[in-house]
Amino acid sequence: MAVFIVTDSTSDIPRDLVDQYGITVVPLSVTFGDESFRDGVDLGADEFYARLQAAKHLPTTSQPPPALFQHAYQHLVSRGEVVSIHLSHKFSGTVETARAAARDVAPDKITVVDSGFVSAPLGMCVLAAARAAQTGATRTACAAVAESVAGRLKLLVTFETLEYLRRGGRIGRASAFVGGLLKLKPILTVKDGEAHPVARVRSRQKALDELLALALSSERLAEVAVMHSTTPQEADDLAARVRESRPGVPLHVGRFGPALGVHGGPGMLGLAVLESE
Amino acid sequence: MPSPPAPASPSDPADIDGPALARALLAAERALEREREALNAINVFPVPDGDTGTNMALTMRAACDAIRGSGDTAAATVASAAARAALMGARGNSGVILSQILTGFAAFEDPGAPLDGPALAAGLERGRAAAYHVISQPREGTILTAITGAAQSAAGTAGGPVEVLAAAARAAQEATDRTPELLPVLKEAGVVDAGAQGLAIILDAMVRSLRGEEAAGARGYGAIDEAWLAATRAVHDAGDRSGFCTEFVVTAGALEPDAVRARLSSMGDSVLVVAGDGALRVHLHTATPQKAFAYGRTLGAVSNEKAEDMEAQFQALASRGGPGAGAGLAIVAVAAGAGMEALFRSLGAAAIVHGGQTMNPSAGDIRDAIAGAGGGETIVLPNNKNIVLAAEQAARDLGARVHVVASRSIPQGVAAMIAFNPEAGAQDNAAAMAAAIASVGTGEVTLAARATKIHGIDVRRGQPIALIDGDLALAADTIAGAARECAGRMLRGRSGAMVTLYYGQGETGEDAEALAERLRKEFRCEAEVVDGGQPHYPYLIGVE
Repeated sequence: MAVFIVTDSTSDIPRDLVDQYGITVVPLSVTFGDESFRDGVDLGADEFYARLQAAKHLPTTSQPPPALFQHAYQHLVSRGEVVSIHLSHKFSGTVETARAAARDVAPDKITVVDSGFVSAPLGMCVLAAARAAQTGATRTACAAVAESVAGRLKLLVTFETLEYLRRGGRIGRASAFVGGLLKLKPILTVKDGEAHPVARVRSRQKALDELLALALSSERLAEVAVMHSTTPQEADDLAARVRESRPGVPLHVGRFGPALGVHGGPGMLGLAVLESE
Repeated sequence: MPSPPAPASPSDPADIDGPALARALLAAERALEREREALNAINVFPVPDGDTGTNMALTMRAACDAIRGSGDTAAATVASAAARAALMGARGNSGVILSQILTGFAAFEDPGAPLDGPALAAGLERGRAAAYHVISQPREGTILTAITGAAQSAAGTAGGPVEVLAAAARAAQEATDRTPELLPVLKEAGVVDAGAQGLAIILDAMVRSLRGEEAAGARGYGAIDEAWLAATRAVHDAGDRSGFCTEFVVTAGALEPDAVRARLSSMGDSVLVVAGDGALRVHLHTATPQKAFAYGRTLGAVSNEKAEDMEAQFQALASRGGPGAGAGLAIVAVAAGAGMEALFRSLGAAAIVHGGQTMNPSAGDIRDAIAGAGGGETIVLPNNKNIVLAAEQAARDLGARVHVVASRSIPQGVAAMIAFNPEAGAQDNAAAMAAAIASVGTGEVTLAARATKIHGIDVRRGQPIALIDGDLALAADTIAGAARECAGRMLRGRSGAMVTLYYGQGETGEDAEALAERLRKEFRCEAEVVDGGQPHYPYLIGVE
């Protein structure tokens, strides 16, 4: 029986890959003041960051309404089974809503997976499951692939400004680490759905060097994604350095959507790395 | 130079008993106290460092506090009590080495045996070995040379203990007089080594006491500028802050606890005055601990002074999730200046020990701060080359759960703090912090304490000078000029460097920012300005 893959818009998967694998992306909503947008549907990344930098108050992201999941699941279970993979429950109630919708629609045909991540790492889980589905893997096998990938991922992020992290107030245990009277460039990682401190350095250049060194410290790299919010040139340069250091390792350049963008702001740069099994 | 003590006298005793040893050590304490400013004045580097005399005197005071009124006890008991107290109260490099000498001396194989000539010589040899043991890279031309001379001469002298000690004292002075030949910086500056001279003074005073002779009169050892030293001291003594937990001990004849309590109550809260053993132990919370200490000194000899910033301690606790939450890794940093202390706290230090150049905290001060920081494990950042040994001493006292990352300057300490990751373990952090230290260059702009010539550079007293990584690099006409040239030399030929300008007492943020802007343009570097508020150094400069 065909297995369809569902995710949410925080997976930051490029449009062409979404189309290639036939992935269903349920959008979260982004609200600036009185205006609400569907992430990636009627609000693109460029417009999001332009509005973010002009906004007096930080926008909010909210999980999709239950009906969106119900409609998506109902549509898909009529043709097969579903694996629905989402951002960490520590960042959003999205995965809970998806589970509730799955119970309502067809609990024996839908498996919901909490990736524990957001953005490119979540996207890597989703794409791995989608590739498995294309080769005819069962629903259980596709979900297992997503969970296996989630267990081998590392996301490292650095910031040009700490203003958004501070204003958002959602950096958990890293908050004391990024405080301080110096203009530090922290490098954080996302582990178990929470941001954790990794290192802090004094300049952007050192932050990029350190980011690269930390990401490439593993000998067994299966995949790398370079992610940026507003600095495509930096992301391309960093990708070139990854390619030079690890030729042959699959590499993507992508863009942080609002889920992380609202907390990281312009100039946020990240590396997602997947270790081989 | 002092005249050596008289040679062997027929009235010398066959062994030194406890009371005689105690009297001799107390005489050495008085002699160091008398000579401390003279010793301070002969520190070789032309910075307002001048604290060798103070450090040795305070260390000796700590040792002697333990044996005052010790009564009719064995010499070994007196020696070990003094040694234990010296280990706790040791200040600065010279103080730590002195405490090691006392510790080695006190380690008698048979504490019941009389302290005769051979026993005294053996004690000096153990002291010598202990002193070398504590220094990772021993340098001759220092107090080490003096204790070596003393121990060797003692070993080669037959006779009673006083005769042996007299030979040791003479040899220590001779070795001291030789120090300029061993350390070129001493020769250039025209002085002997202050720590070596301090040891010679101690041994000389002990011999005179054992022989019932007059103490040697006060004397000078080179260029002295009392007014300058007094002025530099005034700078750091003036630093009143609010909310200090203040403690000290007064030793004197007649003391009235009630009267003392009443007087202290006008200075602060939480006043406790406890009498016992010919001393008063005092505790109070006050904004002006110096006033409390000054009052204490009107009563008698004040010792064990301690003043801890309660607000800082509270913040440190709060940042770790409140009292009792600190089972993890704590950082204790030594720093002076409100801005510096705030900076270290903001980077995650759990406790700050007030101190730095010219005000080296004791090993005991550092130990107290480690205990107060409440970490399951602790990393100590001494942030000054003269405090590294005291920090290592404190770490040895407390065992394996305390690590010293030997930061030798404030910029090094800041780099180490930035490398600190609260989620990593002590060993990983210590390694990362040590690596960070190695990546930062330190510039220090200050005023020359005295006219001198070092590395071929002529320096006028009070002239702005700059040291790069501890070596005098240049002298200039203005502080701004010294800072500019110092930063320039550190940046030349480097690209993409990060410069941090920490401006100190008396400097303005505008001037510092103007310098930073100039450096950004000229060297295409990143530059950041920090209000350090540190005394003695108008600018500290970090380049990484």
